[in-house]
Amino acid sequence: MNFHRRILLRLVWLALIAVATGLIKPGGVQAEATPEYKIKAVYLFNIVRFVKWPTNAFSAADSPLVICVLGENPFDTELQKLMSGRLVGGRTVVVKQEATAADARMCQVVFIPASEHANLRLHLATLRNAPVLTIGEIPEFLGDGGVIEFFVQQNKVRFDINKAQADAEGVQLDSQLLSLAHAVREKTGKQEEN
Amino acid sequence: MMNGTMKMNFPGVSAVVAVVAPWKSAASLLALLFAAGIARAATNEIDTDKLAALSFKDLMDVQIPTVYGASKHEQSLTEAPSDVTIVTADEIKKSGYRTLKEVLNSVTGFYTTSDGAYDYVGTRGFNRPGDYGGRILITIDGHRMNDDIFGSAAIGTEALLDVDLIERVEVIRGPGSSLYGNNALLAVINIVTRRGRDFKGGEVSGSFGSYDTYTGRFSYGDRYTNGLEYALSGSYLDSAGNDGVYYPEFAGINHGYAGPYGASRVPGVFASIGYKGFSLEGGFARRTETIPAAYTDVFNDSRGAVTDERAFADLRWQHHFDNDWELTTRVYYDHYNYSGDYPLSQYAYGNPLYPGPITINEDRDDEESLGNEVQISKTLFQQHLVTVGAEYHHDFILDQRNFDAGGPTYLNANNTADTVGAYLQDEYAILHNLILNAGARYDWFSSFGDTVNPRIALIYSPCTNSTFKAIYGQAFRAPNAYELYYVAPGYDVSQQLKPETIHSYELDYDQVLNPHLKLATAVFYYDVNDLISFGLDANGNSTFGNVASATSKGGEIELDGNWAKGWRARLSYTYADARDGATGQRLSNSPEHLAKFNLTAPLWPEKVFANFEILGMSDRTTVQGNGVGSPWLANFTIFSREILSGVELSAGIYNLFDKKYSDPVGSDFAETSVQQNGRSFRVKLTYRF
Repeated sequence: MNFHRRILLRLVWLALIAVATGLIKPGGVQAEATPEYKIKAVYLFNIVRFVKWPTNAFSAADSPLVICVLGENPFDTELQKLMSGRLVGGRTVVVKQEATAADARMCQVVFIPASEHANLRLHLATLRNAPVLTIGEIPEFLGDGGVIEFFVQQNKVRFDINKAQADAEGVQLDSQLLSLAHAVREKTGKQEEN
Repeated sequence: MMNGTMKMNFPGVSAVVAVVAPWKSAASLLALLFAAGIARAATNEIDTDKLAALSFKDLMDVQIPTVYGASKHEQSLTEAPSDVTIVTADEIKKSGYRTLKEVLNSVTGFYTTSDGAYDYVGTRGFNRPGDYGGRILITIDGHRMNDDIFGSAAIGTEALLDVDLIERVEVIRGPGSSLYGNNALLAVINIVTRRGRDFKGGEVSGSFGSYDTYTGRFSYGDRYTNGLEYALSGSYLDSAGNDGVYYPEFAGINHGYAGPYGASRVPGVFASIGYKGFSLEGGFARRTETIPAAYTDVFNDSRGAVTDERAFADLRWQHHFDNDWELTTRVYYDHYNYSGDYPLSQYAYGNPLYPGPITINEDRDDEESLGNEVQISKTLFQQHLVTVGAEYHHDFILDQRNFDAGGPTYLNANNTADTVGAYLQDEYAILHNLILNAGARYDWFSSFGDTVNPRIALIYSPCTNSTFKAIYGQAFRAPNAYELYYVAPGYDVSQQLKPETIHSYELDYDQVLNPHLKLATAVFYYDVNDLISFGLDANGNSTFGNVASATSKGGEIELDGNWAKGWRARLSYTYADARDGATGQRLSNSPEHLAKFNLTAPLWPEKVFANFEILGMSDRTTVQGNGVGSPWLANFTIFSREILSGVELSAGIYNLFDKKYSDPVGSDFAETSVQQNGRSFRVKLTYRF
């Protein structure tokens, strides 16, 4: 039908204009975080204040606390903005984006976003036995050896904690943080609801 | 708003007619007094700096922006048992939308038409000329706005709410009768209003536009630390109307140009007050509009006019008990008054009863109603969110009159009506990522009896970026007072009208492609039965009957992009194949294709934005079966804020390329389609203090 062709032509024309004006340039423009990730960024900001890392987690007494996001960063610049100029446990905070878990072993916090679904097990295996607080949002996160898992319930962000895993990595979680969790796993496979 | 008005005459009846009901002034007063507050958590923009200032405990109560209307409680869009679109106040400003009609025109799958007197909204192939949009339910903060005489969904300047008072519009596609009952056949549109906290001070706004259109508004609202909040707003619209509309059918009179089309005056007030769980909200608006060429054979007579007056008040108490009980209870009042003046020649519809050269035939309708609703929700066994509710609605005045000015009365129907409804809904979180939402509502109408309408939706999110929904639902539109009681010689009283029904099947798939880009797709099949139309009964007389059926099948695809600094682009396409059940012909006023494109570009970060919109649709036919062509309309708006402190300025050009196009109109018009406005502009200034 004539109309089909016209719609198609117009769409192609619009797409061309969009590309020409640099609007749809893959990776060329930065994303704004969705409301969900803005909220999750503030959760991260709150959580790190209730965590103690072993001294060997830092290369020097004045090293910054490094928060790494693996893969695509859903927070956009919100995390940087939140953390800039703040001290956590007397340390400045740096936010980095890393492509591989191996690079992230030197970070104190690693956030694994939903987009890393396919590589989750690999990432967690690589980070195992490093003094790293792993935070994720994929449903199998705790079962695969992550420490804090975000989920959304009735539009509110909630989290479960795998305390056994945190203990194994030498990362201490404050009891206040544990009390705010929806559920805490004390030992592998065992779970307590708050 | 009359259909077939002039076809009637009771020669034997002459009657005394009191023109103005005392209700009119009483209702406006009531509305002013009951200015109202409400109900629904308007989700403010999420600001991380503000959130960071909260305690961890308070942070855990922050909700991700949500839709209220889909399940009668706040939920994320992906969990809603419907395909939902949200239009925010920010988008309305940046796109320069002047009415709810323009907001809905931008929404995937929706389209609107105008006959010069009223605007009509339709979706996915359904927008039958001559109907009043009663297959879509419009609510303000959950309060039903469709009236009980015509069931109209008011979306033009006659709508009660000024668009400046909108916080967000929730467009919930598909059947909604399982929660809302009547009119929620094709969609529910819930408007969430701005509350005291959204104003935090005063606002004055004025605009000037084409056809000598002026608007003015003053609003003030605030929230105090003790929890008391209120908002109060008054607005006025005055338009000289468009006198450049050409009617080829009347080329012999005044060269085919009618007097001003849509010359109107619209005063309106809206207010809300809330304290703890209590809220009171209400509003009033009255539009008087000239209709030089609608529903009549007399052309270019400035006495042709319609007035629509709406008012409501809604008082509610909402309480969250321990153990997660949530109770909402409300009582409400509604007022709708319609009057129409139609100049008729002595040859009106070949009727020789009109003796003089021109007679003014008048309609006077009035609805006054009260209702109450109780709703309880509770989480059971962790995984079930159960909502039960009951509603009672009583029309204590439901009057329709028709008479000639200074002449005989043809119709004086005084009725009342009762409706009782009860509903139950369970949202069962089977797994973290799998939700079953099932519900049903029972309704009893004094006019026809009862009806039960279920909806069931399965919502599956295999990962956070993907959502699948499978939705089945039934819904209905009850015969309205006009269809039930408006009778005339040669017309029989409608006997045993049943509700129109729909069986709807829909599959949705939404995918977050990357942090910038979202894809939403849907396929649907609608089976609509017992459509109410004029037809012939056993006596050979005309009457309303459940005589028609239709189906619509099709699909939708939408790409929505958000980038840093306020870049936004939306592209959508809808295919709908809507056909008459008996003839297999495509429905009239039903475009097979709808395409929309909307782009917002920041010209100066945070302060100046340009918006460009294209709305296209394929050919539609008139009731008589002729095509009206396929308009492609473009709109362009520049919006700025905070260049001067507290000042917002916008300038828009609508129908940028001055496209000439027409919309099909009902069969009670002398013409088959009516030409729409060409290029027009508006400039608007708002100051906050």
